[in-house]
Amino acid sequence: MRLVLERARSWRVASLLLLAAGGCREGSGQGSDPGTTSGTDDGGTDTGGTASDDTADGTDSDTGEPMAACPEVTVGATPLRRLTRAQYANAVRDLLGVTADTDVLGGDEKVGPFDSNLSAPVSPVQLDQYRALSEDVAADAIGELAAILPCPAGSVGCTAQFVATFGRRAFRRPLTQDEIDAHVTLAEGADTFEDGIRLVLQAMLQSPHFLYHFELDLPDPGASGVVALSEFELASRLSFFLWNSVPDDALLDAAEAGELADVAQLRAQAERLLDDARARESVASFHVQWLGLDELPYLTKDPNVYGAFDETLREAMIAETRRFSSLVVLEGDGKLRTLLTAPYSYLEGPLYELYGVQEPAGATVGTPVPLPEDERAGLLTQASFLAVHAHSNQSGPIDRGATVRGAVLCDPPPPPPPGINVIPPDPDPNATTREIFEQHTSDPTCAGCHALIDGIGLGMEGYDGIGAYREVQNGLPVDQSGELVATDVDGPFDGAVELSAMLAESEQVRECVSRQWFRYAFGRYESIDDDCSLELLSTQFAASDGDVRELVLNLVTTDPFRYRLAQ
Amino acid sequence: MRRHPFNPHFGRRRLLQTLGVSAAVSPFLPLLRSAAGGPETPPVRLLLMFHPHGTIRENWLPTGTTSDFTLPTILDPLTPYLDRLVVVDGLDMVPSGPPGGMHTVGPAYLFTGSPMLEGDEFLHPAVGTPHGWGSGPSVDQAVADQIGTQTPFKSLEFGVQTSIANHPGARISYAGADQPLTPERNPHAMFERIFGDFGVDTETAAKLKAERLSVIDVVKPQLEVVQTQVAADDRIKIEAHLDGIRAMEQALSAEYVCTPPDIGDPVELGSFGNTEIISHQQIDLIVEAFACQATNVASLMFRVGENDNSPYPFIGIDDPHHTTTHAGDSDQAARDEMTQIYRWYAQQLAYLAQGLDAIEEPDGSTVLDNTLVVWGTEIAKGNNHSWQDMPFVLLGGAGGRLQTQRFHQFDGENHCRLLTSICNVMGLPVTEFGGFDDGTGPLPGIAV
Repeated sequence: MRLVLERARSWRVASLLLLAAGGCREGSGQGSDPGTTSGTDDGGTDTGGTASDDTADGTDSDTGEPMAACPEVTVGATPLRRLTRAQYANAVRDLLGVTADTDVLGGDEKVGPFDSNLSAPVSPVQLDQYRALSEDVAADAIGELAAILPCPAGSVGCTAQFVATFGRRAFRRPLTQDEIDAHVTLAEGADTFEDGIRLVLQAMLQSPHFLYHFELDLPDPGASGVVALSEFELASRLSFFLWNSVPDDALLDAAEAGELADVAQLRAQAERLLDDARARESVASFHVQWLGLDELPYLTKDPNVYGAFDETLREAMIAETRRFSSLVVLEGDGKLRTLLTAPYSYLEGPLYELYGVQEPAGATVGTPVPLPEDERAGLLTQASFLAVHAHSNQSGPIDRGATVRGAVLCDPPPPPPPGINVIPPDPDPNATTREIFEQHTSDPTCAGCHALIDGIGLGMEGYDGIGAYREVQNGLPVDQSGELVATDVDGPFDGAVELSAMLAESEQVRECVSRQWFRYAFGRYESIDDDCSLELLSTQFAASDGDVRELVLNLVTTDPFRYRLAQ
Repeated sequence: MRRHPFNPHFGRRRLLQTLGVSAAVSPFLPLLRSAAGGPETPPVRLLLMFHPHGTIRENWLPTGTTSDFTLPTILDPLTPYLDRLVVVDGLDMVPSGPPGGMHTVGPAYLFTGSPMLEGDEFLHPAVGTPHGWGSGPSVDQAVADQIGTQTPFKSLEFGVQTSIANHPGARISYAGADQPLTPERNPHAMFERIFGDFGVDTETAAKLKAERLSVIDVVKPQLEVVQTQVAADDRIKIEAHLDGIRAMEQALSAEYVCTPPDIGDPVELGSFGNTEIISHQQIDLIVEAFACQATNVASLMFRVGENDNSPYPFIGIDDPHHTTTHAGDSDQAARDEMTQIYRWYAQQLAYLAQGLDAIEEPDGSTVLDNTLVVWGTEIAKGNNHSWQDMPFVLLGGAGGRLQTQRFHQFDGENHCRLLTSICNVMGLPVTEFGGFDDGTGPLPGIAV
């Protein structure tokens, strides 16, 4: 596997160099995605963009029939990952009903835009942080001892019973007798029953079986190939994907009863999880991370330019996108088109003023609020996106354009050549942002690539650096004209509402979104061994008219979800 | 620019309450210093210090000769320690054209002297090709492998407003290839890590230690089992975890007596107005950790190499630092501002030197006499990201192994030669260090 990855990596490096040397590609879907490891060994194209016939019309290119499954099971390797801070906090919440202050833990690594502790080993400092946090959580949890015990405190055999039942949920599988014995021995060394439970909690929260996503249960088949995940491992994948947390007892029971090997039952469990309120958080987190909105808590704006940007507005921005994305996917029609074009949203507090909308009488945070249809249409026109992808004192046409190109079209522009000044020009009180940025990137060495970026980003100039709509800037009319080039929906547009409508009908965008969900689900990039499954997923997504809920359900029944690479 | 939420974590408060003792860990019980039972020849300690974004060379470069020189504005705060100072000019850091941004990979190159691993983990939005973490151990860890095994902590990594980002631009120490070491940015968490048990009564401290060791007795065998089960590519993760657990066990089992410094109350870690407070808190901890030999190796990272746009309001500078570094050479206001910033870092080093020099060793020397501090930064110059004429300062007597009061002007020598010399001063008889080493050996005139 290492070999494959490295080949893919060097292929990608080579492709980047090629791009840097040859300037920006012109055609649609000819390039490959610099954010992925996918690709073929001979340097051919991947399935990104519209290059693939199979994804373009939803049929197998050889037979013309819809593809139902991949001919053979091939999956990319999923490296061992450590829980993210959110997973740790959610798990502690679900296991013990206690709040874990995970701010004391070091930050998470990312795979692309998605949180995933995949690469660097844990440092001694982090182990100490885990130790200290486990001590705090355990001390908190035994404050309500009866609530976490399956038996009367101090009763005969209660420690062993607790170890077995709690351990099954914390480790996401039944404990071996040796494991139970080791924890009971630990507890028995304590002065009191309560202290014993506390030490068991400390040990389990510091255990590798809690802190990592292990997938080791079933023996390898020997020769290289794939091996099915055990039922418990499948349950874990399912709950961490859909809840970003540990499985509940019902899911573990289903695993124990051998039900998850059956695809229909696996899907039924996924539907059950999606119906639970915990799924909202995972769906919202996908959209927040996908579009880089997890920067919002750290965002600073120049108070002289954007005096309205305060904590309340910041929190309302995050809340809007979280609520909007999760409600559309889980309780609305679930369509990607709706996510990208909805002329309504879920506002609170200062967002009404920012959007220039009257708060409806009796509205609650869960009430959809109609927005001006020529100003707002879905995620890319929400203040969270527009504020994050902007500078502290002005809008950010290049950041916005590059983000749409990279995250939404899966066609990230190549980096500028070395030695180029990438510092944004200062705002000019006598010019529009468009004017000063156009001047900035008009250099012939920049203009080629910037056509891919600026055509999108400058078309979003109808919004300032915190997402307020504008038609006039510095007394000058704002030009919102833009152009999509090198996509499957090329053409001019006027403003982000029209841009969003075009993206909503793009096959390239649908393919990209299914790819991004794949990365989110596994916390890793796809590899060539995932290509067939990705293609199938994308085909099914198109066939469902871009139903994200269906996409998520289809994802959990793909081969890469149910199998792992043999060691 | 990042704003971090306030986190007044004061560790084990709830646990201590559970154990029936007060969470208030001060006032500290005055305990005996290690001086009484110390060894005849004090050990030599090593500290690496990092600040972001280079220097203003004309205000950094001493004037005079190799042994008779005067320090200019930036380095002037170190004048009281001229007799134990070495200024190293004229070293170049590795070839040009690396993957990634120079602010990103510079912190890894600086003390590892090694390239980045191939990989797709990090793709700079603006420059270069993707890459992984650093590929070699940093010099502090190479030294710690040799001299760190006899202390409770093999090494300690301190951070001052290092971002929470898990990113090469925010790491300077590496245990080895692909093993960046996360610095602790919270002085009070570090306090507890080193001295935690000293604030409570002996009985409670003993109980805490025993509990933690008993937990390790359960966790360690689990790691030893999974170590044999995981895929070959993942084994390094479990091995590093296991090493860390063993290190924790070593620290818990060690008998050491320290006098925990009073570092005051926690302050908001992300507030730019608090940088100097946090700096002094971390330095106070380093001084005592060295004095009582909780460890003999440490690193201290200020902020991050990755485009650190934090202002310095505590010295009257509200402009974002990284943006300022891109000003042209003729922008005198920007140069003055940066000079102030880099001078402030020299003041932090002077504060450290003062602390180390105030502690007497059993043989009558001071801890500063037996310490080597190496101060560097990830680039030489902000507005062109140059790696030529990297500014290095060495401070401390290093137990007599360093040729002090020297101002070296080299001519484009590979900076790996300095890393080699650091190893030599610290007693490692190596002739090269790092993947970029050109085999020309240590620098002349550094080690005795």
